[in-house]
Amino acid sequence: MLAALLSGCAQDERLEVFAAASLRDVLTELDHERVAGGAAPLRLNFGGSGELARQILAAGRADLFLSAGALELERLVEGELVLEGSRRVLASNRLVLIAPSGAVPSDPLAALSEVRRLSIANPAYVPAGRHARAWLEQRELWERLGPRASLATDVRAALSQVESGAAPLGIVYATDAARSDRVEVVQVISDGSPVRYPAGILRESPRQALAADLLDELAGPRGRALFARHGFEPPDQAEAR
Amino acid sequence: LNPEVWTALGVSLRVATSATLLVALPGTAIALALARAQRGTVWRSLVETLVAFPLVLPPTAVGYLIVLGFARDGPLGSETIGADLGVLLSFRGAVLASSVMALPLFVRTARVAFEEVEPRLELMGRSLGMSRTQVFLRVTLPQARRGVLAAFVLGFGRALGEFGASAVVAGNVAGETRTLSMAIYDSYQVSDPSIVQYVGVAALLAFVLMFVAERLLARRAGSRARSSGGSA
Repeated sequence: MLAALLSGCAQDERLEVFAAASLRDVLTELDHERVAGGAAPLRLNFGGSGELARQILAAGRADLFLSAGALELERLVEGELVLEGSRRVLASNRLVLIAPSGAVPSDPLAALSEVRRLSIANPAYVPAGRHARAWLEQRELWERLGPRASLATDVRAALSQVESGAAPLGIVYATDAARSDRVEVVQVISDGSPVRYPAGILRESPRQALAADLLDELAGPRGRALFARHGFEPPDQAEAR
Repeated sequence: LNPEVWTALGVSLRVATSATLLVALPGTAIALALARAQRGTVWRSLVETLVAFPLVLPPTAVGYLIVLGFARDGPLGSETIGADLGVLLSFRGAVLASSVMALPLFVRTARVAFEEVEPRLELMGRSLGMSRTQVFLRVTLPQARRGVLAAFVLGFGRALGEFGASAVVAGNVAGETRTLSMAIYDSYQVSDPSIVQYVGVAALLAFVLMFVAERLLARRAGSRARSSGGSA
């Protein structure tokens, strides 16, 4: 019985997808649709892209990796863990400055430089945090705000910290801000480095064909519509920027 | 040693010291009340259960409950009481979370110490005209001092090792809430080789604390065995 539990049923059909935390809604919805259409459910593992890349480097278990930053996928490419030619950009996103609903400062940028606590994803291993830090550095605010920054484990955690009011301001993706009615977008940060979502199939994957199908689906009309519905922009948008 | 290791160690020690001091008074009071309460009563079991609660509840759940309480619209939030207590994502939050997690260990250790004090000695004190406070300070506490000290050491140790609840409540702010345990998690995420230093310092500290607690509790047991006569 234990063996049956461990092996699971139709386990070979189940793709193991490691995906950036900001893709949670898109992939969960896609999974529901696929299961309704008779496909085997996905095994979804969400987290900060850097943490996921580290997990793949350490255990090498995933079939497909959907990253919120080029750098994290690059680490796997360097380690020769990604199937050649499987890499493609699926969508793009924007960073936004957010505040708890009903506590939006009248002058966001002045409020930002004086803020007691700024919540961002940890720049050391989360793309959203890395982009946020790059933007703050560009505005010469990082030196001042770095010591006051609460470094969340992923971008959704940064969202939670602003939702509860623990941090009066935070920087997350537009898509994260859009899904919460407890925060408001104070300012769209558009001059930061482009935020792309590249994906790649892992070389060690025993389910490469299935993974390629899923990737095609995500890059195809159905995937594009799904990304758009959740507030993502098409990949070429990022390419152009 | 990496200077960030010293910073994280400093934060850990400050958080744990504050948390232990915060727990000391209520913890001692609860331990004494439990030790003196009649065994088997429902209210005693209820208090025991409540105190032990954080011991078995996932620390992240404890953290979430604290966040709910202090969130903007929570019962202790800025919108409700009209002032920001500054608990979330701050040093205070780290102290509060660590205190809640340290309380069970403190109370259990101190309670056992108080239970071992001969009630006769306290009665004698009362009959000599001492007030309750005098009896506590001059009879009960000196008698139970090793156990109570061990409670301090264990509570401090628990606060020092705290991760889950403080991670949720206080987050990761360098120099303020980035404790040793947070720094270990952090450096693991980026395969930072400094992790060896963080873990080394934490392990050394934990060993010293547990050894001290062990000695305090062992000698107390030893002296009891001696005073009860050479029957063994």
